[in-house]
Amino acid sequence: MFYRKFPPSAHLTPFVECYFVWENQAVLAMPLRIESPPSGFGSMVFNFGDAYWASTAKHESLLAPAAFVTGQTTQNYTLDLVGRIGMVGVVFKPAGLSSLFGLPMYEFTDERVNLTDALGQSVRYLHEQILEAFTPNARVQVLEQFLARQLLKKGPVFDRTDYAANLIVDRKGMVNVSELMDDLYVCRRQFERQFLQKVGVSPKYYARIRRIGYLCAQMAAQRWQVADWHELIYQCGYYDQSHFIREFTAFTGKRPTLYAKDNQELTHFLDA
Amino acid sequence: MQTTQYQSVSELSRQGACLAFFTAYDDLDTARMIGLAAPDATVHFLPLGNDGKGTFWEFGKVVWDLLIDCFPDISNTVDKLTTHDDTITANVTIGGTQAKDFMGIVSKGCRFNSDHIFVFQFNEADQIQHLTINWNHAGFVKQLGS
Repeated sequence: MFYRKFPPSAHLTPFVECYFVWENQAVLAMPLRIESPPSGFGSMVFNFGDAYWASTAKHESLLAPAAFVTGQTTQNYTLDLVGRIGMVGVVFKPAGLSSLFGLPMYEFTDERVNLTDALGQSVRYLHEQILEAFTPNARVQVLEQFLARQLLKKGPVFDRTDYAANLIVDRKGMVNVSELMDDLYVCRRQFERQFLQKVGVSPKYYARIRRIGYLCAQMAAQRWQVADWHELIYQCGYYDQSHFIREFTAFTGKRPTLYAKDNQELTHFLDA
Repeated sequence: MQTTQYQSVSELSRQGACLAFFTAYDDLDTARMIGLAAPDATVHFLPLGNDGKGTFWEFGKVVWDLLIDCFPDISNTVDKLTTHDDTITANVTIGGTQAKDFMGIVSKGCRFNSDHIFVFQFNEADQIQHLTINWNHAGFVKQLGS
């Protein structure tokens, strides 16, 4: 199994978190279920492997389009993979998709929208180019060039919403949004409306998503064997254990200990 | 402040109509709020039970006018919108400071801030046909000091 992240060029850094390639040359011996919490990032994904299904709070089982765009995810989701895995994608900064493509992101929250429905028929050629590229680097190069052209076409698009959203990412969601608005000298109403338009959720809600995403990443880094829950809760800025459990369950649908146990089992399976 | 202009929803997406509703609410413009609904649309303020049911244009307007009168700085933040068939669910945070007695709750000048769930049902003309609003009423009353 090959999963690798690639950093973007400097000029795309305000909008792109990373690229990723996920491949498995051999056919999976048995179906694989991957569970993922809300990450705080939108994405554009191209599948060059076998078709797979995605389950979300909204869709029990949805055949993932071959190329699609996702906005913010507000609930846990699972992917059911069979056969050969082959995906390449762009992980966008929270306002990146809207800044580069002018999309109203509230329409993409918790959705996987076919790429041609979102961006038009012109992106069909992009998918063909990805299918024709045979190495991970070449596929990422195709995406990088596509985004660089889009950035040139749109002109300078980085605004205070991008800045604020990226700041929430950098601070792992541990931000007092009212203070942030004061620091930026912005009108609350206007700021919240622009944030909803460009990110897909409100600034406060986004900070909660980002914090859960960061926390789950920390748990994964410890291979889901959390030695000190209190330390982790403190690090992620929750008031107390009950606040943490309430937030975690709201976004993942599971209590933290059960979530860690299920993912530990998956880790063992992948290691085997 | 109110305007008498009704906003057409023909060119707005249903999510856009929901956002227009909350923008009008934030602008304290109940005429614009009800203008997004069909003439025979209905509303149900769920925690108020059967007393909270009525027509969108008349009963809804009375309740929202009363809210605006009693909480003059009332404001909302749309946290997220979720679409399912003809229904859009909006998770919204609403806050305001009480300036007058409201539905039996004596004004103590307290501020409330609470999560609300608005469930909009649309007709084929993309107008709001029914709206259900839910919130933690006990928590709301408690925040107001009663």
